[in-house]
Amino acid sequence: MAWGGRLAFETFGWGFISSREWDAVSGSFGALVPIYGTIVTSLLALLIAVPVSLGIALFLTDIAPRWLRGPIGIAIELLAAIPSIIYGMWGLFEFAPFMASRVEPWLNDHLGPLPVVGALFSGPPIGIGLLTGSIVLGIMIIPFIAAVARDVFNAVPPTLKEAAVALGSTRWEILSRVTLPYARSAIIGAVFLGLGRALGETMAVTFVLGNAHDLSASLLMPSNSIAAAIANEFTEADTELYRSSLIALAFILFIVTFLVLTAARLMLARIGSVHGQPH
Amino acid sequence: MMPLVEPLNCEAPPSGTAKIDIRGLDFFYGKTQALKAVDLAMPAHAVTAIIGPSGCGKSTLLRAINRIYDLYPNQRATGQIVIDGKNVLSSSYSLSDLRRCVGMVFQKPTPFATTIRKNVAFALSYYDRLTKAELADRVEDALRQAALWDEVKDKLETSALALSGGQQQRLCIARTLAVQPGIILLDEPTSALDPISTAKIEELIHELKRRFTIVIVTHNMQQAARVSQRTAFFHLGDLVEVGDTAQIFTNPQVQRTQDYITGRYG
Amino acid sequence: MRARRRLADVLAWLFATAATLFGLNWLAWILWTTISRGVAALSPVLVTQMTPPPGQSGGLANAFYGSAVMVLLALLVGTPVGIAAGTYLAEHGRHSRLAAVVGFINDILLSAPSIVIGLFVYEIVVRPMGHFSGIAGAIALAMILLPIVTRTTAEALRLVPNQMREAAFALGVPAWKVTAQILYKAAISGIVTGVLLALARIAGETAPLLFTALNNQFWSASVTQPLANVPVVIFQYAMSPYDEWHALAWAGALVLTAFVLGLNLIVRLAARRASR
Repeated sequence: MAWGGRLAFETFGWGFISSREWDAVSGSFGALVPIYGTIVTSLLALLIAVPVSLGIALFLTDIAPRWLRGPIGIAIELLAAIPSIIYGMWGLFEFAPFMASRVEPWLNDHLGPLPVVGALFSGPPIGIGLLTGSIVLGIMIIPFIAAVARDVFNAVPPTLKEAAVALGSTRWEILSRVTLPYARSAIIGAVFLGLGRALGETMAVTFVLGNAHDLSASLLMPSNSIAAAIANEFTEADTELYRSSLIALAFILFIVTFLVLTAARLMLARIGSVHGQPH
Repeated sequence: MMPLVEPLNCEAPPSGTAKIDIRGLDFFYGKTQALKAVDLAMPAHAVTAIIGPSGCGKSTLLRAINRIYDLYPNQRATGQIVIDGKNVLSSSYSLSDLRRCVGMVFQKPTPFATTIRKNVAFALSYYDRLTKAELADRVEDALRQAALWDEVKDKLETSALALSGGQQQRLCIARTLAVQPGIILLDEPTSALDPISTAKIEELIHELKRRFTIVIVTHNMQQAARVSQRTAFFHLGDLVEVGDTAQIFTNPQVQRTQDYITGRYG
Repeated sequence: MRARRRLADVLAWLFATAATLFGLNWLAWILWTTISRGVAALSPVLVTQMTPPPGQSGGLANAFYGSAVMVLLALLVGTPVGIAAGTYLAEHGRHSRLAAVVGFINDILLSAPSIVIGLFVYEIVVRPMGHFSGIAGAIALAMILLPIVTRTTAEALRLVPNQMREAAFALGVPAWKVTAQILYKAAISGIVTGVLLALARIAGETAPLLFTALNNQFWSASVTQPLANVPVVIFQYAMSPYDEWHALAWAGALVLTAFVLGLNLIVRLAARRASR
């Protein structure tokens, strides 16, 4: 792996310098658009996925009757198993049109005119763009975060919860005052896990981001992410320079993803030892 | 590690002499010393009980005898444990020889995830070349000695995990007996079992001591008084007192022993 | 005061239920779309004919074949290595510097996005070879499979209680026999689950294949040439403007999804039954 890194580095070495040049020549901030797109879609996806995942985890561990927990748990795991290309196709052929015809015009009309927020929602409702991409991405990472959250909720020692119940706490209070604080670092670890997954996700966003090299403030506009850019353009990359700059992008992605996921693992490992599991 | 040329003699020495002779044993977990300069002789064809409060080192002593601690790199022992004239702690001593002659039964029954028959026969094929018939005989023999044969003879091919706790423990004993050791180490063998199974196993120990040398670690003093002939009391890594069981329990010489036995501390 | 707490509780209940319905809704929608659009294009032709040029009808035979070949190759190579590595990590993880290194490398592989792995294999296999190939695709898939199998094997083995190890060693039996006969038997269901789930995962991977095996319009039995495969075909056909290609893409998507989800369901249901 170090070897591969070095190869990318060699290419990266030239590529880095020349990619800055190239990108500066062909478009205003070439490398910036994919990076921006990656960050925005991932963060928005997290924004959607984290509350939903925590809600699902709560449902699975507390609210659902026992016989329901198994099937729903499996259903959520199936959501994770769906190949990302299927997400992409569904996104392109079903969801994007839906967004274009129902949601985005609504956003345009109701939120567009607003002073600050409005800029986020201006632009023609074509369906393909940052918002759609972020939503699809968010749906994809829900099962990952939810699975970890559920395990963590289950791992809270029952005596802690029982003590809270004995004091007359409501379900929400147990969650917010006992479970979440206890599992705080694990939850954050789970969020990082989702983030790592979102950063590297290729196929789902390739279909719905639009592969545009423009930087725009609006969420409704098409854009690009690192992974999508590479996927879309690699087969057309005919010059050495073009190719090496794409590889340079991949290298950046690799480093960032690795750091995020390692941080996630560290946080999750700590909760493992808190519970006294032998490791 | 050069194995010895002749295998360890698993037979008992003339009665009256010690089967296991521990001399100057120190044991360390990393930097912590768990056993200090232990000198203890355990006679053949008898049950020696090791008692003491938790953390006093009694399990550690047992694990030193069959060198199971070798699995963990930060645990080590110095001193001598002499069995039949040979120091088993020396690094030139073959571990598989040692463990063939010294069997161990653990606190929690640990049947392997396979059939009853395969559990008992597990180690046999490694030591001796046996024909199928001989193998079957040895398995039956071991199960009879462990007082389990009648209960399982019709279901040898079923999973060992389906047995009750007490039966599983007797299966573990049978598994140990199958390789025909001379010494059996029991580490709190009944603490995870119900009273009826406990009684059955104590009966078994009584039978087994006629053919084997037994060392049993127990935190249950009544059990020690029931099954053993010699008793050694440990406290914080020191061997405080050792003697005939009857004497230890009715007339201990050392104050600490007296305090423990009367329940002054647990 | 009590009313407010009550309210918060009810809201939490509502939110959690809504969240779950939200999640389930997407699952249902995606599955429904895949099934309805895919069924329309299902026919025996799928497995008898090859991928057609635009404007003509055809099937996905070469794609299925290519995918099967690459996935199987990846499985054959990755599984034994993964199990061996996982065993090493579980049994020696604490005391060996080498184990720490192995674990670290495994973590790197595990966290790398699949597109990065595809590019990596591109650099070290496709470039020297001069062209895309099925072998490169299989290698890329193997690199995705390997860390998953390693991790699940190590975890399955770690779950085996230490007492069982000690009991086996106390009988004087050598280490390899303990591992092979006792530990594996105890951990087998965990290991098999890991392998099958990894298999389901790589069957659906697209990005790594884009840079390694690419695609081949014609029938090719040779793994040293670009090899047709289902995910890339779906990708290319879906992004194209042709309707017949779209239909084929959906059909392929349906088969792929059915395979992957089916495998997942079987594995998870079996695991639940076993742990009961």
